[in-house]
Amino acid sequence: MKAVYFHPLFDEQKCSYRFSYCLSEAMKHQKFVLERPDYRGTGDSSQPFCDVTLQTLRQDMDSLISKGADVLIGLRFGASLVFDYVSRIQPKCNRVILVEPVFDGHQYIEYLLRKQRLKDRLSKLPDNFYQEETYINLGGYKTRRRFMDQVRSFKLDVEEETHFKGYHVLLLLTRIRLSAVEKNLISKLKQYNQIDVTHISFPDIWERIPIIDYLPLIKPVIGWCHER
Amino acid sequence: MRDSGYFKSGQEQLYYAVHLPGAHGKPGEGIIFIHAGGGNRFGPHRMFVEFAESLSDKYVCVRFDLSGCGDSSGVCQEGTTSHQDDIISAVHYFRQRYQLNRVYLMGISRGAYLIYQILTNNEMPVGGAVLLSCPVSSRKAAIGTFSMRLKGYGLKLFEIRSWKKLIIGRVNIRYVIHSLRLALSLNRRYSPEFNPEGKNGTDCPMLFVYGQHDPICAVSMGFYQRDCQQRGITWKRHVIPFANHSFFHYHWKDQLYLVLKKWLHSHRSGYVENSGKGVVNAIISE
Repeated sequence: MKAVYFHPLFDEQKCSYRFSYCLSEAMKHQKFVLERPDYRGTGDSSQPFCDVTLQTLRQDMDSLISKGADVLIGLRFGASLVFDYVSRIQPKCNRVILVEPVFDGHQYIEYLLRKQRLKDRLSKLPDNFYQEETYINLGGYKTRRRFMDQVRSFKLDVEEETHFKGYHVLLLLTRIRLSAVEKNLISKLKQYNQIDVTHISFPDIWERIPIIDYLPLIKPVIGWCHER
Repeated sequence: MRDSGYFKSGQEQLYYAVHLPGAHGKPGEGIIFIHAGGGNRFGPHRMFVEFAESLSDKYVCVRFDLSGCGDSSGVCQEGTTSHQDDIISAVHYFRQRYQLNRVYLMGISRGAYLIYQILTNNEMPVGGAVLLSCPVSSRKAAIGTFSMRLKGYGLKLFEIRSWKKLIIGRVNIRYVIHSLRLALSLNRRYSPEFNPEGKNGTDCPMLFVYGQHDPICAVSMGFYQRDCQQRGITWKRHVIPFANHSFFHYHWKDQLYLVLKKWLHSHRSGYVENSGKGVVNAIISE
């Protein structure tokens, strides 16, 4: 069985990187293959991050998944991209694992900006420090403003004509309380798909690098892959 | 051109990615990047990837994951010498593999600290070292970092979101306490072992770069200035205005790259501006 893992963006990738390694090792023991590709401008890719847009991410997803996969796994914005891909393309593989996806792009960008502002205040940075028309400093990354706007308007939703139908979905959440929008989306997904929602009390591995064992987060992923 | 794979350090398999010079490049000189504690071969906000990509026209640039980090096997043990062994293994392995006659080491934060430890305690075939935000054992630095973190948490209390998280029990109090305790333990974590006779020097020139608003900047720079003088190390320092510990703005990253390139170039051409054994050079632009 071949699974493809789609990582989050910005510092969330760095913080959660070890998780993806541990997941890949654990899957190897179960005779699964986990591929962990980079989108252009991220990870080991040679392109700069400042060229990343929603279009490039979508192109990368398309070309990476077209090589074949049995399970698609995404974490945070990676999970949102998987959701977006399945809604657009309806790939052959019918198993999808979404780990704490970003449901609302606007909230996500506000969260990143808030973190950035906090760092700027701690660095006593002047308000007008190195402002550019095309780019913004987001999490230390030179980010295209257009990309930020694209992410801001990015929302997970299931519409009538969606392709997101007939899938087995594992939604892995580290939060117990969900917003009304999130609950609504899950119930919509349930209409067309077989969806398992699992809540795990676990630190937000994409926010910081925890000194913990990732097994509680890995176990349900592997268990679910076996069952499905 | 890229190369990647694993090399062995003790019992562990360490993952590496190498940027090789193109057809017009002159292999023979290499840079090995050492990441910070808890980081990986990308460096903070992909700094190492971007630097390696840009410098690979002239240098063989190696990025690798220390044991227990990134894609390398093992458990990340900061209190042991395993990461120092990893760096020593990397220098020997890549010198041989790419036939490098000169190797530079570049590290950030804990990576820089490890480089300094290695170079002052071992005979290493290293041509120079670039140490970014190199920390030091000091109560002052520890208190500076502690108060910076405390201030960060304090500022968060002005946000409604933080209160919401507190009320629903989403704040990981254990992590907050751990983070603050870690800051206070800086004076134990980074304790350079002095040679009592003060002879433990190295011929390897060093460039220290700090961010102006890094809480450890003043204390660490003062410490390394004294220590380098005692050991007779040729060194330079540079402070990037407004920058913090991990150079959290792409503008600082660009500045850092220029400083690094200039320093490397001065060593490459065999001309070291204004420096000599035991001479302290300060290029402070504020």
